[in-house]
Amino acid sequence: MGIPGRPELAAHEFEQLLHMLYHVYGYDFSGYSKSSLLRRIHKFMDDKQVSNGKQLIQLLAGDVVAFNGFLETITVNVTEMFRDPLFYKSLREKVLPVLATYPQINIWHAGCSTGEEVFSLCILLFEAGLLHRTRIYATDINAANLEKARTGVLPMHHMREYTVNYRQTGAVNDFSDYYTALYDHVLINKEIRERVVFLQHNLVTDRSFNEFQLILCRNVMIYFNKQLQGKVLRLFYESLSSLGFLGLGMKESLLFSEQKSKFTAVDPTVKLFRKKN
Amino acid sequence: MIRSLPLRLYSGLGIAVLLVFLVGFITIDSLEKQAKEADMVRHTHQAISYVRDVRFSIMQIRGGRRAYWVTAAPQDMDAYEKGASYIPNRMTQLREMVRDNAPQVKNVLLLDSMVTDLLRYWRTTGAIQPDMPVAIFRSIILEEEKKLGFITKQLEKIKIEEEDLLIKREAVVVGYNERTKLILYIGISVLMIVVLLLINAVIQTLKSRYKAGLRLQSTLEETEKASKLAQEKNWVLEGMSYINNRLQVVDSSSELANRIITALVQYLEVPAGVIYFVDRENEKLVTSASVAVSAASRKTFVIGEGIVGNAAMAKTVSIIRNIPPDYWKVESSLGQVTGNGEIAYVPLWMNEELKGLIELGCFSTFSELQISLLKSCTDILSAAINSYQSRDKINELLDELQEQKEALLEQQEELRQTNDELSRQTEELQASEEELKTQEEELKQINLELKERNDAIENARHALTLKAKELENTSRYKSEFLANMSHELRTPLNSVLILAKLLADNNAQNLNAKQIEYANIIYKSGNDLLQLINDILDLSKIESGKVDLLIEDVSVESVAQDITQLFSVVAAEKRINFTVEAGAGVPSTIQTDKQRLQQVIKNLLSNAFKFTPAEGNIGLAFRLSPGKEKLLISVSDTGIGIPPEKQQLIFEAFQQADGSTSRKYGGTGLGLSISLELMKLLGGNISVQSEANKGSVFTLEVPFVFEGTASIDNKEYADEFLLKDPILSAEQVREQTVVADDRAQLKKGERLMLIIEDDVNFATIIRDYARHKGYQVIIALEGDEGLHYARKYKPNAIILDIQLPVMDGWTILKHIRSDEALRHTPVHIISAFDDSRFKQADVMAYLKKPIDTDTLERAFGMLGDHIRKGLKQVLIISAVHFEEDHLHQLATEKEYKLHFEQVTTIQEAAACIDKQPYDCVIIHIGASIQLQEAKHIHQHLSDKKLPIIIHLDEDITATDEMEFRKISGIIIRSAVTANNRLLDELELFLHKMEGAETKTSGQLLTPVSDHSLINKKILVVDDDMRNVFALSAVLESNKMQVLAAGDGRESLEQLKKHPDTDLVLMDIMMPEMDGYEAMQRIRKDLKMAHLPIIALTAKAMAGDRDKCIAAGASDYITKPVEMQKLLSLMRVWLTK
Repeated sequence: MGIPGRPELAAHEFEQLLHMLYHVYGYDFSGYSKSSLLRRIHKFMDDKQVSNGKQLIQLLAGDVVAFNGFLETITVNVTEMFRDPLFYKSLREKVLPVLATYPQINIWHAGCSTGEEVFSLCILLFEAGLLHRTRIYATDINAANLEKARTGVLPMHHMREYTVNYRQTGAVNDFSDYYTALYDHVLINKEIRERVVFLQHNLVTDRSFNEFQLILCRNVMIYFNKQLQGKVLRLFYESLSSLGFLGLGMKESLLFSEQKSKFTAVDPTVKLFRKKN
Repeated sequence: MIRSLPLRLYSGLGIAVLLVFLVGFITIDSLEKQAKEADMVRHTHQAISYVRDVRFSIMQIRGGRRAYWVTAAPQDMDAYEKGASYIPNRMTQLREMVRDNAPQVKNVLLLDSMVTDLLRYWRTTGAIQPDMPVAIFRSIILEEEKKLGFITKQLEKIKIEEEDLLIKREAVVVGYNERTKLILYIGISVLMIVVLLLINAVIQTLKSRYKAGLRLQSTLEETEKASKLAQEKNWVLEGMSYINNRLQVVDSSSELANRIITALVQYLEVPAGVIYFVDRENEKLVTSASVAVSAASRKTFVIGEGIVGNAAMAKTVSIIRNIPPDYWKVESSLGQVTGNGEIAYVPLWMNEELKGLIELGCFSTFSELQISLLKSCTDILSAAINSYQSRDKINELLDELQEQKEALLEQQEELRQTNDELSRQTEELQASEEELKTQEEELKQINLELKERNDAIENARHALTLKAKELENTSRYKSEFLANMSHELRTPLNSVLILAKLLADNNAQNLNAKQIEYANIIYKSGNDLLQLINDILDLSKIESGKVDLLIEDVSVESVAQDITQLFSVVAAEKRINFTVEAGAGVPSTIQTDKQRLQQVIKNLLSNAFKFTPAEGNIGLAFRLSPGKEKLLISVSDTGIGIPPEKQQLIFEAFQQADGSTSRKYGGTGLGLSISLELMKLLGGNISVQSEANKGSVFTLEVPFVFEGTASIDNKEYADEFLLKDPILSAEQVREQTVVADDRAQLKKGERLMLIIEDDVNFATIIRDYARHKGYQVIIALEGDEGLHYARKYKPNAIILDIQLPVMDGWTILKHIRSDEALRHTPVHIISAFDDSRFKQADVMAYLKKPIDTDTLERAFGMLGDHIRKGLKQVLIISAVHFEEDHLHQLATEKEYKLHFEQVTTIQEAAACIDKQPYDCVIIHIGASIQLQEAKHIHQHLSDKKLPIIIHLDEDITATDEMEFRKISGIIIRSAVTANNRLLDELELFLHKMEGAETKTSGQLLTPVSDHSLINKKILVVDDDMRNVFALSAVLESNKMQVLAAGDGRESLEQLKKHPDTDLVLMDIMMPEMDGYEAMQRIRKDLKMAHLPIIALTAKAMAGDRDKCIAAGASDYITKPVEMQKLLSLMRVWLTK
């Protein structure tokens, strides 16, 4: 079924690779959606001119730098600010007023990638006057992403799109108030970023580390299989305070999850849920 | 063999010297030995002379003695005197002398004794007196002579011995001499040989030196020659290098030519020279530069022609000698020079290609050296020319290249930009492709799951069918129940009707008109009710299959006749045109239940008459069905009609085309349902065709032959059902209107009491009492009614009688206890019966009638307490007005059973709490109530386990929050939606409390009596409050002191404040300063190297443990923390 001339990973090699990655680096990809993962592994092999699975395993087992590159390729890092503006609108209108009733607000943004969505959330909180008593734990599996996110620097060329998105969330201010342009990049203002902690966390292997009133995990679970999705949702459930909120990506759903009964839909059109008890 | 001369000489001389020393030494040694032997000889001589001395002395004494005898002259005795002292002396010396010769010593000793003996003899017995007789003298002399003879012999012996020795010694001396001589001869001759050898060696060496000198001389000459050659070569080389140097850094070909020719002329010291370069196009040699040649003589030559042209072709240096003076001239400003001389031509070839020619003129002759230089430098020169020409070409090309390169760079830049754009687009494309693919998969997945779902739904459907069947059964049971009940209802109704009728008749004539009207109304209503009951009875009978059919051959005509008879009067009364007709082929008889069939027709006709206005038409027609197997009976009218959407509805029980119909036309609305059921029972059907305001046609289909079976009697089953099924609908229960109660004006949120009591008087009494106590009251007079109310109104308390109509108290109680919603409602029984069942029944209390007000008071007190338990009691402590009403309203909206009470001070609150139980306390933190007060209340409540909710008006610090969280897990900050959340949390919390009550025990860890943990100071560092509290609770229950810190920085401050901390529990993922850094600082900055730190982490990756340990953790435990494990770990680290 492979395309001629393209590297191909045999089933047993795929298993071996996952096994090796788990035992050498502690990354467990066994719960990831296999076809998506395979596509990305093949892309990596193409890029690195690795022709077979054995070579790939050898390369990754012995070379941390190569592994980091692999991780980069294998984890999806497509993100934007105010991605799905309606989601943020709903967040602004339905969730933030409830968060306002907590003296200290804890938020977990799981799978934050390079931080675009975290900053978006920060802006909403700032506009609601809640940012100063909020602590946002932004986590990702990929240390390189976190490094980028910590700088608060974003490429300039998408800012126009972001501005349009921002307006659709029911904007109050000018988007440009929140950043400073630097040549072809922008720097998100420090006051927006200062309540965020970027931490490395692996949803697959790591456990709950705090109690949150809001957890966002958007467009991460689409790459997981059903079991892993269930496991991650359980983790979220455990990490939410009672009556806490959970925000998922537009293509994700609790519909087929065993956790469905433990949440009520706050706004099903944008995948916002609330823990029942 | 030693080769080198000096070494040979030195070794030769060395041997000679050694020999001289050897010979000298041996000679001296021999001489010394001779001298020694000579000494010994002298020594022997001495000894002999001593012997002689002794003999002489003795002889002298002998002579003296004899003389003395003769002469008696005393001087003759002198010899004796002298000898007497001298002899022993000599003897001693002799002894000394021979000491080294053992036999001689013996001889001497013997002699010595003899001499001593003689001397003693002479002195004593042998002493001579001059006057002594001759005989004596003779004997003395004889004795003397004898002794002397021995001595003489002995002396002789010694003398001979010594002389032997002397001879021996002299022989030894002679031997020594001989040997010394021999050694001297040998030594000297060896020395001579060595010296000779040395001389020979020296002579040989000298000879070879001389020869070497000669050889050196000749080599020197050769070297001189070579050096001259070298000089020449050097000159040539220098020339080449000189020329070469001059050729460096040349800008143009003319300069190159100039340099070449001047260099050559200068170096070769010739007066003139010309250089030609080849003009490739014209195959000519062109003068490029010259020295001392007039411009006029600059010429061009064709290659291969003339002297110059031929010389160029020669490929080697050619010399033309003996040039006559008039052939040339060399010019300068000062004049011209001519003379005999020579011309040299040097053609310059490079790779079989002529590059140029050099012509040099000389007034003398060209030396060999010069020619050789010229030969040598042709290559350099041609190479130089060649490279110069190549360079020219390269430069040209280079310029071109430069231009092209710039063009390329531009293009490259453009390309790069395009590429950037492209790669960005690709990236985006990839991402969206990825998303699309994932979505596609997701869809596939969902599809799959949907399929599964479908299956599940299919299953569910199946289950539903089963359920439907069950439901059918249930419905049947219900109908049976209704059938039974209606009977029961009819009985009392009869008497009501009779009595009402009696009253209305007013036989006693004691009622006024109004009262009579009332009685009539009662009668009429009673009649309506009876009709309704009958209908219900019918319907339920039919539905439950309890109708007994009487199947017989029925004459169609007789049916028609009966009906006509019945309705013609009504038709006339209402002025309606009523016609009956029978179609062709209608059978005379059909097999069916006549009475039921007539009932249906009657029902349809009465409906038709009811809905058709005056002057309308109503028809009854008997026809055959199109298939001719059924009889069709249709009833048509021109009445109000039925709109199409209602046509199906009218067959259902209690439905009419319009809800208002019954009000206008009366009737129960059950007729059509009954009709339909009956027709079904008879194997037929009813259909309707109608148009609103035009009229309707109802058609009955009746089979000719009845094919069903008569239904069985289900009465027993129905009885059973009566106990089981609690479902009652509003329509089935008669709501009493006898005793007034509060059902019409119920207020939400107020206590409601249901009184189920058939004794109206007593019910009224309790009602008034209850109202007085602040309850709203609903009264039921019959059992089923009571149950119905209980379900409908969900009262807070029920007072129940046992003996009740329709359904007795026990049954009601059973139903109430099995109903999820009513289970906890307190039920107080007041009954006239004494029944042992009360003791087992799940009732709050039991009172036996008759009762007095005191017992009633008690009963209500009990109910009140119980109700308060049902309604969650919430105490609000707030100095300011707390919008209780708003809360109350919200709670009611959300249907939360909450009751709020507000106090303004802590003291008040404490009093309230002591007086009355509460379910929850809300503390509003504001101006007058602060953290301290909250803590106070918390302490006050600690043994009551009463939950607290904190309500805040403004922001608090993290430390304050921590303090508040110690008091309460729910902290609400005021905001628009704060009340909403307050109630949600409250409800959730109280709900949880209920659920948790059963399982709270056993959750707390039983404290371990372990001294290693007691009184230890533990610092818990975690930003997760849940964790901090959970850990604190367990640690404190194990008698440890707990300090807390919310992040790494705080932990450092705490440690600085409490340096006596025994152990630290450190979370890793924290804001401000994470656990790794905190641990490193504790180890490094605070220098607490031995403080045990246990890291708590949510991370389970391979390297995390190592990372913790590397950062300074003593040990490691993963979250969520298992307390037992943590405690044992702590024990390990706290045990010293």
